[in-house]
Amino acid sequence: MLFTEVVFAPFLIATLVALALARGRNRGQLGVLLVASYVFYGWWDVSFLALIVFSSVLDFGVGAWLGTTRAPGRRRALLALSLAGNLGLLGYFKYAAFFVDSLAEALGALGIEAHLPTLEVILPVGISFYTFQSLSYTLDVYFRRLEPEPSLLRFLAYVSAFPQLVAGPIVRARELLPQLRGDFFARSDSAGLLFVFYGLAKKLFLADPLGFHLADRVFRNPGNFGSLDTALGIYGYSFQIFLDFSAYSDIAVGLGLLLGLRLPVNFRTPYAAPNPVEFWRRWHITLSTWFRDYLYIPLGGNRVGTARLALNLLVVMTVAGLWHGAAWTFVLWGLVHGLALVAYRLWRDRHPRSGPPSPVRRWLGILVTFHAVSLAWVLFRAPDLLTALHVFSRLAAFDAPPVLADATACATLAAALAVHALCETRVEGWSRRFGGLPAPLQGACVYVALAVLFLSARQDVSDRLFIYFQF
Amino acid sequence: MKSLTALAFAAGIALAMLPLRAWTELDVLWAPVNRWLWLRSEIVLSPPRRIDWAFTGSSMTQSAIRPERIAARHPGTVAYNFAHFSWGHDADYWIAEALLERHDVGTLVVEIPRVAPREPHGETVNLVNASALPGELRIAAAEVSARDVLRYDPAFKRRLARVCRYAGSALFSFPRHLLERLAAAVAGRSLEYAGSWADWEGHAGFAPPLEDREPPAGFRERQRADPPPLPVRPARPFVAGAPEPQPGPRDELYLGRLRALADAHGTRLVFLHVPRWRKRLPSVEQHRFYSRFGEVILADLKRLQEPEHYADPLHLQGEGTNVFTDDVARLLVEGTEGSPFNRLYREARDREAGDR
Repeated sequence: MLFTEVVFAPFLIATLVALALARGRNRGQLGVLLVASYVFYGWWDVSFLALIVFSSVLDFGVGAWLGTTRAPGRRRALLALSLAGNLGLLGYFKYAAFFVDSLAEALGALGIEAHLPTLEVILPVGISFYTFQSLSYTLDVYFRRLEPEPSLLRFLAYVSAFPQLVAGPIVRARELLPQLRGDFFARSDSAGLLFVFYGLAKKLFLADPLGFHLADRVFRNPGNFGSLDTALGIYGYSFQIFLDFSAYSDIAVGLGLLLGLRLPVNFRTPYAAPNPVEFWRRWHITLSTWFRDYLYIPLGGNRVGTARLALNLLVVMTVAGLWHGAAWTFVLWGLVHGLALVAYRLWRDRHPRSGPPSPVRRWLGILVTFHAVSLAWVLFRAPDLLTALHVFSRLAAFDAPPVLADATACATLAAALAVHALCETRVEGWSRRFGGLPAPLQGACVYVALAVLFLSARQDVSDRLFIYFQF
Repeated sequence: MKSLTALAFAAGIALAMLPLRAWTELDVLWAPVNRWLWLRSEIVLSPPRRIDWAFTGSSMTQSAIRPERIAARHPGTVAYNFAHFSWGHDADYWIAEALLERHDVGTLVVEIPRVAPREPHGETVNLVNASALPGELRIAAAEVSARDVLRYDPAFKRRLARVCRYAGSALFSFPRHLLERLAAAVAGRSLEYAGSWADWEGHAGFAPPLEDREPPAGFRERQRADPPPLPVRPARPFVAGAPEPQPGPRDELYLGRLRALADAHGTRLVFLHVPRWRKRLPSVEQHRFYSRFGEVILADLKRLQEPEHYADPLHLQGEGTNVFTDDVARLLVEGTEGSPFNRLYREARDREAGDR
């Protein structure tokens, strides 16, 4: 089910009513949340619910066992079991076809004719998110940062909680499990409604039109466009992916508040980052901190020599790229970001500074970082490396007159920039103020927002999935 | 709980808007598509007038009937082609309702849907008013079994989504109608307002004329190589092929309402079969079903067998449109008894009755 589908509204209302009816009874509320989450996920394909149940039950069992054993060997074996189960699931459904195809191509390049089976595996929506979420529990229990959860019902509800089930934010067990105790719906906050509508507006009025008018056109037929249009397409995609993904996160945060759960913020004006390190502190924060805590730090983190640090960064970012999708473009995208991080670290080590940077230097840093990130998005968006190269080559082609720079496209791009610069930092304050309004006034706002959203979004533009659903 | 209270207030406001919406009559024929805006301009915003023949249906009818040719061949006859993309009997009903309430319509000609599946009807949800919801809910409930719900069947999900869209449109479209009317009032040119939107594509809301369109590559060559199955034999008035979608409860609901509407306004109701390339004629059952609600017109399809008559397998064009328009106009004037194809159906029906 999509947040933008009209079916979602009655689904949410029914869930809230059921939670209110189960008020004061934790098991009842957990049951409602679990059923609602499975209905939500099953709307896409009910058969893939089995994967969530498998991943949840495996990690719950491993966690319980880890809680009863102190033998390091056995603990390592249990962790390996969880890793094998979760990553095996992810590996089969997401990467098997990619690795088989890549192997066949590599063997073909060496002149070896390999008859490898062609795998046609359907990628379950959100598998990367919920496996990482479930895995974080086992890792935290293994590292003794978290006590094993005694309630299977609570654990199932944690892994499958529908607000962030299919596209994050990736919520750690130690953040969400404690919130699922007691009468959590009593903490329901109507301020979440503002987050929900803000996210929907970003998705329907900015992200989708940017994709429709600019990015899709350029990336579908790069050869048709000259340098100005190609640049517009790349800028368009930069803002589209930010608005699309942050919209999903905003809606998730808002829904969490409505259910009485506080989900972590996933974005903090990432394009205002003055360097690549800062960018990754602001972009998809829950994923970058996941990789930091569970991969980068175990590899040695910052407390290693320069060469090893560079290697760690490259490994982590390449894996992060692969996490996004099973294609060489994603691997390359991760590698490019890894190289940017390494380059920045080396530069910073050679030019240490004591105070804050001057405004000019800061703005220069923002511009350079934004353009580097935007260029890297080409790899992320292009269906294959050839298309990506074609797009890059068209950036330097001044042989076609600009056709995309019409008023609609430019206004949408300007509005996207304004939202990024002005609204993102203020939305939390607005939501608090909205939460303080009397309920009838909130109801009137909800009515107007629904009316505007329901009837203003163009169907041809806005019947689109969230970009991060594919991961 | 405050969030639930706020949502309850929102729902209350939405429900309170329903009678207001009906009272202001701002809920009629609105949809964010040029063609619909043109329809709204012609049907809702224009002053009442006499319309002899009004055609509704899909783009097949839109491309098959030429009102200006009717006016030239039958001086004094006012004909309008209100056919539109994304249609169904529900949309036909809402157009007919708006049309008959405001104008003096002599004959309403409604296309027989020939494309499966006939739902969802795209823009139709934007036309929904609250009175249609109970009927839609009843049909959706009748079409879905408990087993479908338990198995989370795609058909169940589709129907639920459709009902939700209908309900959402009925509940939340009023402010948009209000804003549109306000904008028109401020501009002081309500008709031109709609018309200016309709002119967007330079064809008064129509898609580019089909005769301007190039048929798909190799279409005409394939047509020539693959001769049509016509003429039909008297003993078998329909050709073999995949079964056509049979009318269902939703057709029954809207055709019944259409019949009642036509009776209430003294309008003649006619159902029109629009030919498609090489597609079979309506089955006897389908013909009989539509005959329950009005006259059925079947033009002389033997005159529409040239590949040049079709822009693509679904749409007539050029000379094909002219031939069909003339034939339909003739049958509307002379009565459907004059159609050889109608005679075939009648004979088949009589034979069936005799066999029994």
